[in-house]
Amino acid sequence: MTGASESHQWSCLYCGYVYDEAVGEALDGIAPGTRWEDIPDDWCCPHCSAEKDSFEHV
Amino acid sequence: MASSTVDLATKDRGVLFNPNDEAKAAGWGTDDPYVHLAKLHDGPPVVKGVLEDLMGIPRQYHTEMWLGDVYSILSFEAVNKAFMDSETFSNRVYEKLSKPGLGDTLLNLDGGEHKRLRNVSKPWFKPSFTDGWWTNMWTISAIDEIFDRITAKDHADLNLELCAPLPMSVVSAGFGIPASEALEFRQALLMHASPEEMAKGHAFAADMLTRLMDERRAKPKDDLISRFVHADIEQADGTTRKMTPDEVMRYCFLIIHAGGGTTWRQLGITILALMNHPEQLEALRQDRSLMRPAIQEVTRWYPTDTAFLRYVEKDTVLEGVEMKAGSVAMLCLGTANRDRKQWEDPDTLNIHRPAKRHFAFGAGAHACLGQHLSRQEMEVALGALLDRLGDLRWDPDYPPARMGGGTLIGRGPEALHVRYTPKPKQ
Repeated sequence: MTGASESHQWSCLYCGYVYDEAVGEALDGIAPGTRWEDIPDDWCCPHCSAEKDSFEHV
Repeated sequence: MASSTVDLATKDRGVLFNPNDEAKAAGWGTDDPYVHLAKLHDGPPVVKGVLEDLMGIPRQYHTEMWLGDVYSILSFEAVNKAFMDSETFSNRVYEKLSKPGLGDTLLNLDGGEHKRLRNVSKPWFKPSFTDGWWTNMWTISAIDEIFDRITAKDHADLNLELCAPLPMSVVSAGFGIPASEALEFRQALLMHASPEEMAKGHAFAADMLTRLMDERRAKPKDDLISRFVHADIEQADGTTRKMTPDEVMRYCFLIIHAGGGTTWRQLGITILALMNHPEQLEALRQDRSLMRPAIQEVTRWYPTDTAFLRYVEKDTVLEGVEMKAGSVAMLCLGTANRDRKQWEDPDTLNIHRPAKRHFAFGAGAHACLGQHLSRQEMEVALGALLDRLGDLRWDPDYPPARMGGGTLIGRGPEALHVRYTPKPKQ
């Protein structure tokens, strides 16, 4: 878990979805505060299914 | 060994595989959009008015049927905001565009209902699955067969002999529709001169899919119809159930419909663009690590669809422009993908640009489900084109190839007549 001040965002290169560590992704069961590196490697973009290596830090 | 691909003949060109004939049958103009869009780049990012009227071309989208105001969304930032906010800019427009023909599908649904339905097939269209299962099971074998036919001679129309049959063959085979029935299935779904013909065609396609679904329930195969009939779909209350035959049917109609047409036209655009920029085609031949950036760049520079529509669900303000609930927003990919603030010299094709997101496959919750499969098919096709067609050049016996199709919908070349020195597969 991480504090809001250290929170980072990652954006999908293909569809623009933004994963915000402070917010998590409730619909995929990812709790607020979950760091990008702690998301399972087989997780994929909730919008377009791109995998983690298609995200860039924003 | 039975053929796994569809071998199209010139007689099949018609409305199915000629974007100009397709556009004329729909009553659309076929002007190149970028001539008309150039004048909009220096104006405001959002304009009240119909996009075709701003461009000075005949209307293709009949936006008047929604009765509300119409707004043209032009800049990258404005289009991005609209795509990413599907609660305000919904896909309800498709209740009039696609639902009459295809029923409730991913296209016209929104929110939780859309997400639960999309989650069913999401694993089968993610990049690792398209790079693995789709490519190894279907795309490579289809490409080998198609190029064996093409390299048996020294000239071809790559639109009819490669671009059209490849996605139709791959998507049909991946679903489990035999190649011998794939063309008939596509004709039944698409070729309708009247509502009666549409009903007849859909009944034919439904009968074929019902037969295949029954077969796969009894004896699953490694194909998508088997996956669909055994798939669970989540309900609003968190419980799951099996998909109904009707849900599977509508899903299949949509994916087969979309998967055959978009990649066909976009692959044709890509070949046309690269052959008209021979130095970039040569750079790609020498350095295949440019393949993904090249496809990303061509789809930015010339997406097959120039605009998408959204329904404005609630009063909102976009880039300072007030919009009322019930309006229609025309999201213009043609201007957003060439936004002067986002790209340097955006009207120029340059496969050496750094990778950057654009809107050729949409964005947000409704981003194209099959976009990774489409890119992968184009990569394999271009790789084979570079490997197996030596001294590739335009055929001087035909007029120069050019973009056609509707100005806002279904752009693509009507023919790609080339000559080459055939080479065996390495």
